[in-house]
Amino acid sequence: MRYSRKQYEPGKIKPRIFLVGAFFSLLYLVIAGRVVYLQVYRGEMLASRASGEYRRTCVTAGKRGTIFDRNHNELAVTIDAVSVGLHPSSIPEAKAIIPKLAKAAGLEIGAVKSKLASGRSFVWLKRLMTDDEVAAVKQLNLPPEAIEYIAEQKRVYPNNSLAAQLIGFTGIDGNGLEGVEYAWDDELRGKTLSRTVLMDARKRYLGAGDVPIDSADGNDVILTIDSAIQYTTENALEEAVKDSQALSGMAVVMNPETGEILAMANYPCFNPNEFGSFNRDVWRNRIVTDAFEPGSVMKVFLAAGSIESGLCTPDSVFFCEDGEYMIDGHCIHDSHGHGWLTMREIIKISSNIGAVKISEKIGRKNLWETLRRFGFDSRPDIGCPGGTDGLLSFYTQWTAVDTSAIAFGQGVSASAIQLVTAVSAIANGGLLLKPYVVSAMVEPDGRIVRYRDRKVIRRVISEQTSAYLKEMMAAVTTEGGTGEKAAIEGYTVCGKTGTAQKLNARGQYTNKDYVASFLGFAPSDKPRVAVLVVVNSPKKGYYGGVVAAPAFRKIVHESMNYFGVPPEKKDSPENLMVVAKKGVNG
Amino acid sequence: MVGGSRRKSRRDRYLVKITAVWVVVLMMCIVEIFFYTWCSVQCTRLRYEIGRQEKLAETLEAEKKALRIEIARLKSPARITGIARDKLGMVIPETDQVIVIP
Repeated sequence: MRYSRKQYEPGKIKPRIFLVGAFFSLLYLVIAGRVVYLQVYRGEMLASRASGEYRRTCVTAGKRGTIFDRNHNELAVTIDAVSVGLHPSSIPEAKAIIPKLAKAAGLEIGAVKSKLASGRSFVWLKRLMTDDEVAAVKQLNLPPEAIEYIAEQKRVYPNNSLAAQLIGFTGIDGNGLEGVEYAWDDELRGKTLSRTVLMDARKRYLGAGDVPIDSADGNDVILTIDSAIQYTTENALEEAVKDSQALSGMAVVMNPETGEILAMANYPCFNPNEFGSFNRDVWRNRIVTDAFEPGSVMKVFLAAGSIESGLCTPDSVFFCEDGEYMIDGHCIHDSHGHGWLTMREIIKISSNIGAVKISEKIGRKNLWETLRRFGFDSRPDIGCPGGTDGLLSFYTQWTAVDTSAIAFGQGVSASAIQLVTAVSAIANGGLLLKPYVVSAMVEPDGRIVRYRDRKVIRRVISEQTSAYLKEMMAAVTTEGGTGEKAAIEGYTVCGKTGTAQKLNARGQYTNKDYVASFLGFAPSDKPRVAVLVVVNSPKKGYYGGVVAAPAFRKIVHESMNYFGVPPEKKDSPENLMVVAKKGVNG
Repeated sequence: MVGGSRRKSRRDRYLVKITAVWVVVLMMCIVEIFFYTWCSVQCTRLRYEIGRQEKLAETLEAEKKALRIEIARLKSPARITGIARDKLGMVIPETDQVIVIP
């Protein structure tokens, strides 16, 4: 059988080819038209719909900045933590799961029960949980629609109660509520940034869609505080308060040459990691916020005014009325009767009548101006919240009794920071410096954005007057002075004791309740630290020289060791190295 | 007849040439498609890798933070003083116990 090939007929094939070609061309035209329609008219909408499938906007909260001490030891840091939320209506067999949830989260069964029975669509099981708690909750395998793990940040204070009132703390939402955390909240707080992230169809993370230009983290804050001196100060203060069975106490250490605050201690203290479990009265930094009648420590400022006015010298002599002196029907007492005393001796033994006589000589206006110059009516802005101006009324309002009382530190009130700033002016040769606790602000990339340095407010006394006052204050810690217990062998310690009567509920001074204090600095020639110790309502002993001076001594002594300041006395040349004897810690 | 055969041969050569060009163009397109697909796969793979590395970096950062807190706790004056005083029996020297070396 043979097959014959179909004859090629050019006349018939051409129209066929044309038809097929036309058909396909039409199809291509339709496709091209559709492409143009989709690309030109619907392109934007479709592109955004497509990108919406794999792009998500993610809001990132930057970490709160770290608070460091002057040696870059962390005092407050932020870590990642997880908060767990529940959708009660989506929890299967809720009754059975409640005890397990409570156990895993470390909560009471009743608390979890009430959360789930609240009727709300979303409740927090627990915020800022520990890693172990989160792991235990995850093991319960609750359905994804019933539970949410939300990344948050937690503030941690690694040194617990160290400088707690100064540093303060943040609330559960990361806002500063007290102390430096509150005062510098704007700097410390991280920014909130929106970022686009890429996700696949299964919601797996595919990296960032864009790179944020700035870091979202807050700035770090560097304090002037020295952790070692802070610890020493807190220990010494606690010991003083406990030994004297006092209600509370405060102590502050300042560098008198720069105005830097090296330590700020309040007792009783609290742990900022669990601030809620402490009475809120202990949260505030009373060194800055509370004013009190300082008592006899004010006599050094009276002496400064009297010498500066040119009306007295350290050797000016005053009759101290053998211990009793009547002014407008009020009797001023000294603890021991004295006759004629020089101003040096008045300061050394802290004679109230002597101070009154000095104030009478220089006049109330002079005294008021002196106290103002030392900063007693102005609030020092040191970088902590809630400062006080103290109370120093205008001198025209002073009666003779008021003037007498103010001369020995009653009828006038000041904060601890005002007192230590004022005594620093005596220590450094007469310059009133601006005290400060925040020395620098550092951006997350390490750039310093703000830096604070020594700032002189004004000269309050001459160098000569400062030298006279140092001499008089040094005598206070020598034999026979009221501050003998503050003396440290090998160093010249300048100081002044204070024992102020407190007002009772009826507004009268009582002989049963006192504020004992010691204000001073050391060493005399090149002071490294100015220190104030205040003990409130001591029950066992009440003189500043008995209750507060030992704590002052301990703080200064350990600070001298810490700074490596060699003893002044004997034949010790300059620039020597200090070492300890065998078996003794240096 | 000779002229017709030459024309046919020229046309065949032309068709072969055209076909070859089309085959090359088609091959290039196919290669390009494969290359694009490969790039796309690589891109996705790298995105997953970047995502993983970013997560790892976050984890390591958190770990670093935790370690820094641990260091801060270990360096706390209260702990060091406790060890020095209680375990090593150290004390703060009194002034007369200090020898000054020139």
